[in-house]
Amino acid sequence: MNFKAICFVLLAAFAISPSLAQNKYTLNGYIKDASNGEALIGATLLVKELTTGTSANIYGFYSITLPAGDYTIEYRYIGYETVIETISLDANQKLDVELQTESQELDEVVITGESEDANISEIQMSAEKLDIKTIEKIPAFLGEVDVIKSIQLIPGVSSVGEGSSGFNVRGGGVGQNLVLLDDAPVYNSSHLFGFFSVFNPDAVKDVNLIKGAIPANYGGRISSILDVRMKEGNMKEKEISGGIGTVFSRLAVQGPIKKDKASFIVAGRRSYIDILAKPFVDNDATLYFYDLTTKVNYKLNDNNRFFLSGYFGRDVFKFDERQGFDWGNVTGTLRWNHLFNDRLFSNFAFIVSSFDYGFSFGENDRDKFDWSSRILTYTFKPYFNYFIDTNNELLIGGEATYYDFKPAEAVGVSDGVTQDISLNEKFALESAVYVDNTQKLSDRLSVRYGLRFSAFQYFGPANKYEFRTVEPGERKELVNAEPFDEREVIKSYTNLEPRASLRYKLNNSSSIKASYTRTAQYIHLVSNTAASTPIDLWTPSTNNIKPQTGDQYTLGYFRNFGKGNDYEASIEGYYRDTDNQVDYVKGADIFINEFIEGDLISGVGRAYGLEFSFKKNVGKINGWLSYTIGKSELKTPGINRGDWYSTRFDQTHNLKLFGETQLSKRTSFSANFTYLTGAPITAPTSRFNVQGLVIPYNYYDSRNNFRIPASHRLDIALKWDPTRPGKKKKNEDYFVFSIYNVYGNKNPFSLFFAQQDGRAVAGEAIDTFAYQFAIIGAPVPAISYNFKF
Amino acid sequence: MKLNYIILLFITVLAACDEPVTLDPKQVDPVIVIEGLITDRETYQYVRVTETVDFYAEGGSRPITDAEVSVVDNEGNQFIFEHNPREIERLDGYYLSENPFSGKVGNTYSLSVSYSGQQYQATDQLLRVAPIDSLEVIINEDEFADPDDPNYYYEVLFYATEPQETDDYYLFKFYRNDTLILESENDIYFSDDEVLAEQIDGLPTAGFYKQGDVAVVEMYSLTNNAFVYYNDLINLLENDGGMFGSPPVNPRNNLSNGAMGYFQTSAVASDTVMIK
Repeated sequence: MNFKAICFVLLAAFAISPSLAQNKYTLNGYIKDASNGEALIGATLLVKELTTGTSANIYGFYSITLPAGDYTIEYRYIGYETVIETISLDANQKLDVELQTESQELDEVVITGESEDANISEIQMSAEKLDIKTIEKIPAFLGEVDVIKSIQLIPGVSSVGEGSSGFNVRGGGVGQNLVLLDDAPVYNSSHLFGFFSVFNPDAVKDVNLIKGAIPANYGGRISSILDVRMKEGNMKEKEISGGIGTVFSRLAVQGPIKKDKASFIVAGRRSYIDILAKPFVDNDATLYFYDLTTKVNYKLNDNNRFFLSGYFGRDVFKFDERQGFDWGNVTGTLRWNHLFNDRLFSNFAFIVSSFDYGFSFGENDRDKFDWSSRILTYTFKPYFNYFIDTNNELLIGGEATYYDFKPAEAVGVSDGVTQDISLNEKFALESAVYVDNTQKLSDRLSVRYGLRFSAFQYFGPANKYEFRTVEPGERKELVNAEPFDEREVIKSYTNLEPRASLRYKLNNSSSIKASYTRTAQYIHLVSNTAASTPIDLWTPSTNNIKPQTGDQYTLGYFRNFGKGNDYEASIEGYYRDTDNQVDYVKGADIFINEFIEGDLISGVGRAYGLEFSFKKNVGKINGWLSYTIGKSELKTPGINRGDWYSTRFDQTHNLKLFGETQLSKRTSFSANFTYLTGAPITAPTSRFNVQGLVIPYNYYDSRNNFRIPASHRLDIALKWDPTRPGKKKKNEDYFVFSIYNVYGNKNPFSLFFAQQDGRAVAGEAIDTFAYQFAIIGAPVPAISYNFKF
Repeated sequence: MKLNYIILLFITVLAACDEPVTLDPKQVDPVIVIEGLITDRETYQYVRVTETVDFYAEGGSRPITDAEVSVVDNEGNQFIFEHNPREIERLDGYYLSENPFSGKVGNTYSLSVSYSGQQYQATDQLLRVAPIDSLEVIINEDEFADPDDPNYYYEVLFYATEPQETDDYYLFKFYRNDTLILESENDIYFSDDEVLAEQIDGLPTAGFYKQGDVAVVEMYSLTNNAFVYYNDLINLLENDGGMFGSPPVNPRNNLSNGAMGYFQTSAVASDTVMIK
């Protein structure tokens, strides 16, 4: 084990300790929203006299160490009034600051929750922060605001089709994204087969998508990190908000339990198509989902704060009383923020997360089939944030996750005879330690570098299966099964994952950024289909399935224009090389297959592209334009004759345009337009007839040899506040009228191949057709009412 | 997997629609398709030779009329096949054995086809079939109450004893008055014996009958290769290009040199019952 190497790195990192010159003192505290006490993640502070500064971490905590003296300090956060404090620093000092939201939101629209010049000054590239205010402005499908749908407007992010679940980042798979909700991994982020996501916008504070330059404190997936942070709950006063929409209704209650000491938030949603459809459906068929997102926090004292958050959600789809399908996530996170001293902030998180689904078929007890599957994980994450000096900020931490996979618990009853075809559980431990330092080398050059060491153990009780490759691309043949005892390690893997990024400011309005990221992924989302579905299966690395690894290189140029950074522009290029990407043998059987490892093969992948982004942050009309040109390919022995082939997420062109304008004090209008290259599919080139059947034939046995046609769509939304002008009111309420797919474009979702009706008669001609299937082939209007009081 | 139907059901609630499209055609060369069947019944055995056509072309597989076709068994007996000896137009592409013969259970048969300078080979073993013990005719209560077709509410159940010590595979064909019955047009009825179990007790067959019909059930023995082939065929029919189903792959078969189709040898068990 490379333990020595790690110790060395840790020591080296600590060696960049502050020059222990005399008369240096630390100023620290929290930056919060004055109206509700919510931490402002990434709020900045600027020391005027020294033109230096720092920013608040994900808990709103900041710490800066300065020579003794008098300072003017500006606390800033976009969309909030800047607070200027003058302090005499002659001892360590604690200063919590509360910022007020800007009073008139008329011509100031929040695009990002960062400082004005974050685009050029932040080291982080390939990342996008969206705060919930921005997400709420994007015209949404059926008027329902959605986090996952919103991030699909970010350059480099796509999905395989309208309404499909999950998202693809820079040509990566859905299972290559790490989705975190308050530090808890979410193993399936969709409701209603992907039309909506599990994140309740009423409870979400901040969404951060990291597509590249992934810092060392994140790991475990090779494509991206989606870090969703929940609101803590209003510390100042009770607040009730909610909405009545076309598909579901929401209600959130938050408020102080003890003012400025403890608060809570409870947010729930329930869809009601089933209730509306009830009179028209004669059996017990139903389709609905609900979720509950809740969080409490308690500030014990200045140095200790506790957060407990939980998510419980479920989708239920029943054909009748006995038959149906359901799935859901449960996550729980207990976090303890502890301040060791003025400069050492820590957090300890204890996390449990599970995702499960179940099927029931069969009309009676003599003939039925029940099948369920589950992944359950426990994670412990210590995290130390050490504000060494104004030039160095260190992160040190670790992560340990225990996995319990239950691939299938399946019992079939046929004519009263019960057959149990359940599969064995699988167990694994994934752990990591990391160190990461953000260092300001000069006014122009800042770097962030880190190292993550990750390890994975696949252990018993389980059988170690050994397979023989008969022919690449064909099912591997089982040659040996060796039983292993409880906790006995069957296979272990380790990876060193270096990360580095730098930012060089060319001048006050432009910078160049570059990064290198190596990531390892030990659990795999097994899905033999392009569309992600709830029954996709997570499976660990084993002696047969190696961990996926990825190396990503990015280079970008960032430029702001106009006074006050009114316009932001950037161009970023990325290249990612991946190893041991999971693919499937021909005719792979991935459900209820004890020997699934024999059906999985691995290949190499490469994805590259250019992302352009242009944002207008102020003015009467504002918004953004993003365009990505990219390619994503795989090469797997035995598939596509061993040649490179497009992945199912390969998208050549991806154009998104979002605009918003305030029409009057009471109405605002927003629109977005998207244009996407169609997803690759495997389609027949020819056909033949045998035994009266028409059989499609693929000439080269090639994979993803065709593309479905490109899709484009315009959505609009009008937000209207019914309050009469001049009438002052405490409550806030508004209507949103939206039209999705305004000009009713029939965007193809997938293709089906069919033949003319009737069976072929020997010697008689029969024709075959391809049909393109559009999920939403018409404009979809919606209205929703939202309130807060 | 049933899930795609579930999803389809859900999304059709929305404004879903479909319309025909033609993907930009890629001109590809035709590929030879060979399907042969040797059974243990004394008859003119056949091999059909055709070639693929473009997916969006009109018409069926193109018959190949000038191939050389022969079969040899492991005892050294050779059988020559002649193209459409009676020159019936709709049987173009069919090659019949010069003389009637019956395949022998346990024997291995090798097919060779030579066409346009290329050689294609296939081998299959003729395995025994489990005998059909009996057929039973019952009235299906649901159909009786609400028949899809008036008077068609009789159902045929079949009984057999399957030797479980070997792994066996079977293909079924059901006939109503000499017409093949299919509940839906892309059906192929086949199974492994794990699903069938030892005592096949009143297994319902496809379709419904009216009084006076003659029902025939045929059970063909299959090798594991043939089972894989039929399985692949089923997976291919109505594939959606890999959106909700696995990406389509050409069916695996026992033919060499990239030919499509299958050379099948089967023992056949058959039983007939009159509906009354």
